[in-house]
Amino acid sequence: MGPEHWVDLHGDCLYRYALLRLRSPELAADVVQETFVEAIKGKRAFAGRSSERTWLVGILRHKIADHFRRAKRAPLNGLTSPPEDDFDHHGRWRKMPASWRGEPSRALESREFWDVFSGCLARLPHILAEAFLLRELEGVGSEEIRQRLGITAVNLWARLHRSRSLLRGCLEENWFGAARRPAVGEQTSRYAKGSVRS
Amino acid sequence: MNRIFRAWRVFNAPCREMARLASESLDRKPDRVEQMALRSHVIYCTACRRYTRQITFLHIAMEQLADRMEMAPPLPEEARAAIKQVLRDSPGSFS
Repeated sequence: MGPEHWVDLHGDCLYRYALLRLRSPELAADVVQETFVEAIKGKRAFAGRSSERTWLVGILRHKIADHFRRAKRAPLNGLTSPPEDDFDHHGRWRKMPASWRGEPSRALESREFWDVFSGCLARLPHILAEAFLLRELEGVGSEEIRQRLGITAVNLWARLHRSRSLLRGCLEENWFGAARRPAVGEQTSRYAKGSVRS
Repeated sequence: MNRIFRAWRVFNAPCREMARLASESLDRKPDRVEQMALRSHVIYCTACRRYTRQITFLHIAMEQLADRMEMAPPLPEEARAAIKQVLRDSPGSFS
């Protein structure tokens, strides 16, 4: 089976994945090319342990990681804080999640929402994004992701949790209206009390 | 006794732990104690209730994104042709 066939079979899928992470069509096409070249070199090593697609996406992930390492792209504002920052030393919310204005499910019908959403996704640090996309985009089970990335279950869950917190915060800031503070008299729990800044 | 102590700890966990549990519930099946603890916590904790709801929304959004990805632009024709050319010229290429 010739390489042409490979490109036709998997090219679109790899390209879309790369585009989601890199947001530049040129860059995405570049890493897809690098991925196929690398794949051809390692064809013998493949040995059919996983599906061809899984194997290629694995190489692509490494190529994207290389890109981020080279570019040393710093995550943008709001996506840099360590997880502990969401909570004080008692484990209480420092800043309570805002009530999202509008009907969130309606947002899914808006084109602008998807621009914001993919913008937020692209801003996730790579180490988090690869775990998160495997889990939430491709729907791969925890156990398999754990093995593919070679990390412990606890580490995986921590990465997924962190990804969700960052994405949530990014959407709140850029779409659901962060400026809104809890209204006077709005009920807060005893855990959140005192941590709501007004 | 150990089980009672653990249940007591889970039920009295702060929001930090409840938020973690809410996220992990999307990736593994929480045990009964965890399930009940989270459920009762979000009844009175607005912050954790919002958090749980909002990360569930993310989950739904990601599912939709997966569908939308199918409609995303494919590998451009020029790039496709260029890659095929490179592969043909590549020394490791298989005939």
